[in-house]
Amino acid sequence: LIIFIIIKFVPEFLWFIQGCSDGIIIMKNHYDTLGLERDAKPNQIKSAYHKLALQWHPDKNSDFGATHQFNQINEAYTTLSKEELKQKYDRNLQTRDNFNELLNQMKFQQEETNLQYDIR
Amino acid sequence: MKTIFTLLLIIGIWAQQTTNQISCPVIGIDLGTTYSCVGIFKKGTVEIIPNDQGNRITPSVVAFTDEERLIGESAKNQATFNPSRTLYDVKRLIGRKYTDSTVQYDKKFMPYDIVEKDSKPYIMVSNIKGVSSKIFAPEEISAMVLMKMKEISETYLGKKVENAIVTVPAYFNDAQRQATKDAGTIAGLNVLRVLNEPTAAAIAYGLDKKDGEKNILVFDLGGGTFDVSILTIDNGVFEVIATSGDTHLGGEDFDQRVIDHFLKVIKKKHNKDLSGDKRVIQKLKKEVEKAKRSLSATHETKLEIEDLVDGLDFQENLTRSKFEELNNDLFKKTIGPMQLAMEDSKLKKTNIDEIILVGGSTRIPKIRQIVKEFFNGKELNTGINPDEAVCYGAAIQGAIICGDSNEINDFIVIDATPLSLGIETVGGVLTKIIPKGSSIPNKKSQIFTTYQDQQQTVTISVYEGERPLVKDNHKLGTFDLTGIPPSPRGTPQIEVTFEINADGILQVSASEKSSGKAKTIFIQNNSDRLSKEEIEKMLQDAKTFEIQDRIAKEIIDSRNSLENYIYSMINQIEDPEKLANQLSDNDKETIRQALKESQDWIQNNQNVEKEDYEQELKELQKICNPIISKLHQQENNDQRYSQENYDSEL
Repeated sequence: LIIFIIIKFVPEFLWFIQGCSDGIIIMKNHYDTLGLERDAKPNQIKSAYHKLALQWHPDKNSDFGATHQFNQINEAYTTLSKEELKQKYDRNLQTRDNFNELLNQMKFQQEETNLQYDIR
Repeated sequence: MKTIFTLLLIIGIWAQQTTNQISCPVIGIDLGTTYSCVGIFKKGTVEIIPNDQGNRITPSVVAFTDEERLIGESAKNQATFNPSRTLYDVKRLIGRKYTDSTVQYDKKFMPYDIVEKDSKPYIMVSNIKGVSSKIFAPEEISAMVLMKMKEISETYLGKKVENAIVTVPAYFNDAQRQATKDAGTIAGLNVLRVLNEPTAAAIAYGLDKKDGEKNILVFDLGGGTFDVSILTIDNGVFEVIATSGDTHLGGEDFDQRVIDHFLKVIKKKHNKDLSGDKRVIQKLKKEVEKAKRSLSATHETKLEIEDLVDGLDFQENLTRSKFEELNNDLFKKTIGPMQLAMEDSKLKKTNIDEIILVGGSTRIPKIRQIVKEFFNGKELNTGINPDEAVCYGAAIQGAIICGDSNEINDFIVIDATPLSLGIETVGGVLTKIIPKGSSIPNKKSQIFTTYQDQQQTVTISVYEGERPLVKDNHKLGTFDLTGIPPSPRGTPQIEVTFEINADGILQVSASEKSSGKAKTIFIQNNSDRLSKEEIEKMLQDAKTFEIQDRIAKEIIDSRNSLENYIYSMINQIEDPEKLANQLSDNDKETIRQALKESQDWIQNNQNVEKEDYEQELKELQKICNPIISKLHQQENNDQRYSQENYDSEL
């Protein structure tokens, strides 16, 4: 029975876990939420929002958590559709990316050092 | 981790069980200041349901006479005879505080008594069926109108109706929306959505426009409220991008200006100050409304009221230009909200593809001219019926929610908040959490902290409005978050969450995060709202009224059947083609005498119970029926094979 419940209900939660733990498991940004590339144009952002809203609006989707997902989509669109908010968000995203890159480089360097050490 | 997962599963299963599908039919009700309308989506199209008089809109008027309660047409028709017990324009009071300037303004002009209770305006009606006076919340009066609309739809559909969409002006605040929803509850309706009127009108307009993206502006000027909304329609998605308005501007205000004008004219001509005479004002109001309507088509009209007061016959002309002059400043008040909505939408005037006019007052040529000039001469769309568009859209939204039809499967409406929402922070500053124009439903959180060392309680005051200081905005409610662990100022992390549901109604929660023990308090009831107990009591009162209405109707029915019997009897015995020649003079006299007595009895017993009328009818029948049936027997003997049944004719 438990297995049945898991099979039946778990898939519906997968996105929920993703959304809730934003920043812990997966770094999901607003572009990911709307399924867009970073260089998306305003009209692409709008039409992606409309398409997802049709799918997740609580009037159309009574699944548990649809409202939560809709709120996420809303938040993403609110940020990306307003010029100043988008610029600020893009800057932060860039900083985060740079930081991650730096982190990766450091890790890589460390691994290299480790490697050298191993060779010795 | 495992326990969390199990918990999630349990919540999930519970949620699965509690999400139940809304059952159709869902009616759409446009609850207007002056008129209301009800519609239903059926077989791919909306049907506006006519009332018992065959009209597609019903006056939002409730009246109490000595004998009964009247709602709709019958209430409006007797307004001039019974001004202090005829209640109208209640939408102007709903959800407001007694001290609101608009309430105080309206109080001066309304012929009924507005009194204060729990800092809200209530309506006092004297002499209701033996009770010397009774006070009603505006919600209760609106509930009576909603009940009437429910009844109209039930008669038409031939079954019980429980679910409804009710429309409100887009610029209504939280308290006004809540109050409207409560009115629905009191009327015994399950209000699935409080829908914005201009949005509803946009749905009505855009239902068949599926391809491409369009920006539309809805200009909605009705009997009491004014709204402007700008929407984008894109492949079935109706997104409201800006909204503005004035909840106290409409046709009623225009009428008032004209009434004031004529009161001055009368004072000058006849040296009579009639401004305090409620009956005179009601008579004038009725005639002025008619004149205003005709001035939308003609340039001059004549107002005539016989015996306005003390034998004074009122006769005046009103030209369109005079009407425009009297209301010039009010008409111009529509420009501000249009400008504001345009600024908020970040669109240029040339980006607006379509301007849709809704509400009866958009028939006024001057209003049309103002809108047209604002948009540099752009043609206006007058293709949809301004009285019915909102109702039409509400019915479609009903079908969208209950999933009634395949044709509207890929439609959704994303509405927006008309006003910013936030909380009070140090120095009486309003810190916005959800800015105006945010799409709904919506949820946003923000972290706040304490400003004193060892502070254990924070008071969270929720406000609505655009001004920087809370004192200039509208307070929605307040609550305390207690039990914050003592710590230096600035350390506790208090997360305040605002959640707006699809009705545009707000719920606020707060929790202290740093202690690890989150505590959440919800605003159950804000100060402006009726309590659960009050609503429950009003629901009971409404049922009592319904029963009284039924009893009153039964009394009228029983009196009618007695009267009908008397008249058909008179007809039978006096008409030579019927029984006049067949009855003996003696029998005729007996019947005549009995009928005369019954007629006198009715004259002297106007307010008796249903049983009394039935008793009187029985006694009358006891005298008349034997004579008639004796006659029938004779006749049957004469025409043995005749199948006619005379009894059924009586």
